[in-house]
Amino acid sequence: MSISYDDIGQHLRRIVISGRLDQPATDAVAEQLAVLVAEPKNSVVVDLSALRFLASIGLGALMTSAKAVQQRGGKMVLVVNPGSSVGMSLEATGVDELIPVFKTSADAEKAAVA
Amino acid sequence: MPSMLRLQIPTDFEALAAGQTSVRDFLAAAGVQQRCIEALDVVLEELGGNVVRHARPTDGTMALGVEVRSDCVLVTVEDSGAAFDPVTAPLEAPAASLAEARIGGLGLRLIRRMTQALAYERVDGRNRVTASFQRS
Repeated sequence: MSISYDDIGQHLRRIVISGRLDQPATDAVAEQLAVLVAEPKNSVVVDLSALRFLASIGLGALMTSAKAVQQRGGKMVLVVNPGSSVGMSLEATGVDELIPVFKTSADAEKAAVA
Repeated sequence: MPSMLRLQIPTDFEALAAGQTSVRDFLAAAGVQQRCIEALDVVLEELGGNVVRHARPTDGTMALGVEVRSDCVLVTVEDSGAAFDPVTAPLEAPAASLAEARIGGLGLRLIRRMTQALAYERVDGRNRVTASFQRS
């Protein structure tokens, strides 16, 4: 389980979460994720294309992050591999209708800064 | 020919994660399709997580059972903690927007959407949840 980020220009932060986002892993990264999305970048892309597992605890962490970004006037979007189990979890819970989901980083970045 | 696995594990998240690994390995060796394994893995996380967080059985253990059949896989989660029925527990209406959305309550939705069938019984002070997953 790992979390990393890079900043693109002044306004865009791309966060990459990979591995399995189960309970122990979410506990380990929740604080880091909160710090990373608190940075006043208006556009946040969370890339889940290397994530292999997402359940309710991880969905909760993503929702918390997206709400925090929205509350400070920004926008958070996700990158998800089509047909993946991560996509399945987002779709089954309707979270894909609350946080925009894209198949590629390019599309996600374009949408996040729009 | 049915193929079965049964594990008795402590009710903590590290043991649950190790149990999930054993279940995934078992299912892969039994030739179960990856998509089925992934759905089952998520539901096991939710059912097992509910036992760790809420049921708190006094003996500190839960039992995981997996049975591979030709057309489906059955998973059972048993514990002796507080009663909780995931079949009839009320589901919150989906939020209309991110701003209105509550954090939480998604586990039950995942369990119901990802299973072909779900059953609950409470016998002699033990919860038993059985979930079935279609093999396709």
